Amino acid sequence: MSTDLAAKTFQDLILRLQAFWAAEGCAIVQPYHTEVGAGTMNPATILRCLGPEPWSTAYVEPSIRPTDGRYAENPYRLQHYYQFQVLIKPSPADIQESYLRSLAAIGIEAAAHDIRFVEDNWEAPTLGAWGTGWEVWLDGMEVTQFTYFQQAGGIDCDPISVEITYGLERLAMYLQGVDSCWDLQWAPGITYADVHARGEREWSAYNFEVADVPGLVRAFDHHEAECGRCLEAGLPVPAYDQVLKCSHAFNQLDARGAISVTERVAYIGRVRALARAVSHAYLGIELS
Amino acid sequence: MTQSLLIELGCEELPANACRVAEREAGPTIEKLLADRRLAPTSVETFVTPRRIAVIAEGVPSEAPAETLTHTGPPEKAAKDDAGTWTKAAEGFARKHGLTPEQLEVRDGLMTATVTSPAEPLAAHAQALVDGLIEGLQMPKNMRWGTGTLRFSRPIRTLIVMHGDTVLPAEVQGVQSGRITRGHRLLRPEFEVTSVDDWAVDLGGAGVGVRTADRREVIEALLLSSAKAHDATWEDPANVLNEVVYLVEWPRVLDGSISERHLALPERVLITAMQSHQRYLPLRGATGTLRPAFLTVVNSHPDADATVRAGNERVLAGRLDDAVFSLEKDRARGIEAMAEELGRITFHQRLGTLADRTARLMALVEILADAAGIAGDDRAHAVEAARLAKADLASTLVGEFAELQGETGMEYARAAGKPEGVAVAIREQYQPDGAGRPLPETVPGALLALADRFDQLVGVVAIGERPTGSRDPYALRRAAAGIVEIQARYGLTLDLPHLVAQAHALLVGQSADLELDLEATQEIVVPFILDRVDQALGDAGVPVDVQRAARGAGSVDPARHAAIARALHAAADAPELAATHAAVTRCSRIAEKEQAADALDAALFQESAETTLSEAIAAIGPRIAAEQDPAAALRIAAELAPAVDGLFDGVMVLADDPHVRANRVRLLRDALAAFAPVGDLTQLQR
Repeated sequence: MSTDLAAKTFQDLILRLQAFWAAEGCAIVQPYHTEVGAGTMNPATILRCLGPEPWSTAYVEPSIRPTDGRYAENPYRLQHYYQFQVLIKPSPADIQESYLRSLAAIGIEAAAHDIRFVEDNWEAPTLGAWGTGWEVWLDGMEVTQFTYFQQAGGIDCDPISVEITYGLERLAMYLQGVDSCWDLQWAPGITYADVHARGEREWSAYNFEVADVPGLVRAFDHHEAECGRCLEAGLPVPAYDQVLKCSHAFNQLDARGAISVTERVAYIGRVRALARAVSHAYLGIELS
Repeated sequence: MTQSLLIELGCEELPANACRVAEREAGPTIEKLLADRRLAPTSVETFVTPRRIAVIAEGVPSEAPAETLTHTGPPEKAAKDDAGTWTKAAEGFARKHGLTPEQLEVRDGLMTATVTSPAEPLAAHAQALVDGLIEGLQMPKNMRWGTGTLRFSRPIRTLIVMHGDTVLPAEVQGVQSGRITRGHRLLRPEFEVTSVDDWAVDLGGAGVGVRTADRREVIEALLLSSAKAHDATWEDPANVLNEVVYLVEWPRVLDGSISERHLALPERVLITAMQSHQRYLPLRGATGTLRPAFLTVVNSHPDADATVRAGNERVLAGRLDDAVFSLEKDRARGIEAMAEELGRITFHQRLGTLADRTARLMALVEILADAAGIAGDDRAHAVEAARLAKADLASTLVGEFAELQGETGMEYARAAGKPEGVAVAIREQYQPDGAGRPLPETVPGALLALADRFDQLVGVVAIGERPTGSRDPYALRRAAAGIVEIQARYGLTLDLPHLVAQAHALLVGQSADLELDLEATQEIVVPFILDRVDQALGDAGVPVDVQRAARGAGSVDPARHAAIARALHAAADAPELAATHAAVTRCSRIAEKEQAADALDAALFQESAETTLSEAIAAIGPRIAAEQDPAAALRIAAELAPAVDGLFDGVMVLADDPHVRANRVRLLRDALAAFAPVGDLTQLQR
């Protein structure tokens, strides 16, 4: 379906979205430095959506989900993939129109497609967070999650932020007309496979076969304790990094099949408790 | 002047379930708000699209007329005390109507308050109408947006409150009422509405069909003609159109093709892939097979058809590729391997894994089969089906398409060479999946479906969860209603406390993390299931007092309780029931209040009527208790009534001698006990 105006490479898609949202007043803060399962978990979203200060940001985020690895053999399931994340607080009245203009900026003119906002509410129990919104359909394909955050870290958001999360591989596959993300042009003459296939294979093998289970269990315990120490020292932002490290250690243990059903519930409960404590400390309010 | 009033809330895309609420409630809400303000309309019509909720009220006056009402208060005598000062009663009455006591008048010996409400313009009520509409809509889930505190289903971005061609002042969270409305995004993003009468027509021109019924009609006509072009008919087993009408403002229908390669997939898989999530309509040819095509309802411009069609075809092809991949993977594993993995899947964190649940289902199926005297193949197939019942939840296919649970297990059981009775029972365990839906047609299926529901009901209640109001996250009402329906269909005897005890014991045996002990669980589950019987009885026209009377019989078998209620209802006008009812009522009035002797002592009898009644109870009581047919039991009970009447007519029950008196009360209680199996007739409203 590609037209002359469409983003022709994966990097062009990212650059255009960054340019668009920068022009809309968003700070382009860049990916976070530790593993996150989704762009939402970058503190630029999940911490900054709390509190009264206005905040607008956009960034690309490599999302790490060890259990989704398929050794680079699946056309669109990856343990490392990219989201493009936008967060604006308070949510502007014309945000849907802005979003549609962002699609035009990457070569998707609304008039030439069937674009629909279909109810899809978001919930992340480990983050004590939920919101209402839609999945956005482009000619029947889900390409974006659009969410008004109602609660994060167990705290009611006020004002309300709006989050827009683009699935970059899917959008790029659509724009480039390819059926496998590995065939995407990343840059002229360079494919997605050139950039990521080897890493995807090795990381899949590491996550499923090699990662040191007792070491990960110790890492979880260590980061959990460290989170508590940070909070005691009045440092909620470093404390939040420890939450992310716990969450990633849990995901790796899960990929190793090392977590029984009952342990799983307990681990999720521990991460949730940390996330709640950090969110409250970040806002300087008592944990109820 | 009397004109039409329009209130339009322009929203970001509303969820379909919110649209349905608005469709039902918006008109009546506005009608009542207007009527309460002396502005009653002649009619109201509701309009709902994905991006608006609107009501047009016809014949609304521009002014609520002045009104004088006279209220009657305390008697004149009570208005002043002896000293001539106003009493509290008079002062309170006056205050209630915004008057001073001096402004009250006396009419026919009563204090009266005459209150005149001045004429008020409609415009003064505009804000209250908007606020009342927003508050009046009971949306399934509300949200906040921006910096506001208002809660609604989705953000409100435009507001029209218009009478004739006049905009009335109102505001919703920073949005002032005006003439602006939003048309179809592509055709006419926004424009000004000149008058209420132009609103629907102008929106029609802007690509918005404002009436849901009209959109549905257009969609169905387009589906019909598109299907014809494929020599086929369209179908919608999952009723996706109920949602699709709220996903489009300007419905058009496109067809897309399915590759022959994918057409080899099982039909249920194909249909599910089309309907779930994508909301496409499958096409069926004259020979009964699916056509290699689908229909989809779009909201786009005709110029985009080629792109939109290609995009949708790609999405479906991707989903079908997933299905092919899942099926291949599942076939390589087989259902036995899946069953072995159930220990790794949680059913509920407090109720164990699916392997735990499977063990309970197998035991419950045996208990149910034994109770019903079911042996041989039916019993063996039910137990084997229970063993494999949840295996498909470990399949890749059900991971992709949750709707295919049961169906998938059936196919994989067949592929593994399991007896047909086993395979079918695996599918039937989920039946009925709603009121009036198909029931299991095989005995193994019925046993498994019952076991599944008992385990779920008892487990969820025992961990301290129960439905409240409209909240029933574990669908327990549906589970209980399913038990009642299956029992009725198969004429089974169910001893609810016993079955609850068995299901509870199985959970305890697995060390499940329960909140409630057996007794507490029974106290909730047994009446909960009987309530479903009463609900069905009510739907069939059996009044509540008859349901209560039947409950008084104390039966803990749903079918028996229903039979007793129906017998009582059928006998409503029969003279025997009237006589029995009278006899029971007489006994009960005295027996309730008086002390009774522990046991009847014939030596204390002083009158022959006592002996007669005592002998009648001994002779007739056991016959009532033994009679299985409740209608016949009622007729037998009627035979006991004359002896009761004889006692009351010939004997002063409340004798002075306390021993004689307590003995007679004992006799009445024995009579009541004899009547008890037909129900608690004192509950009947006569």
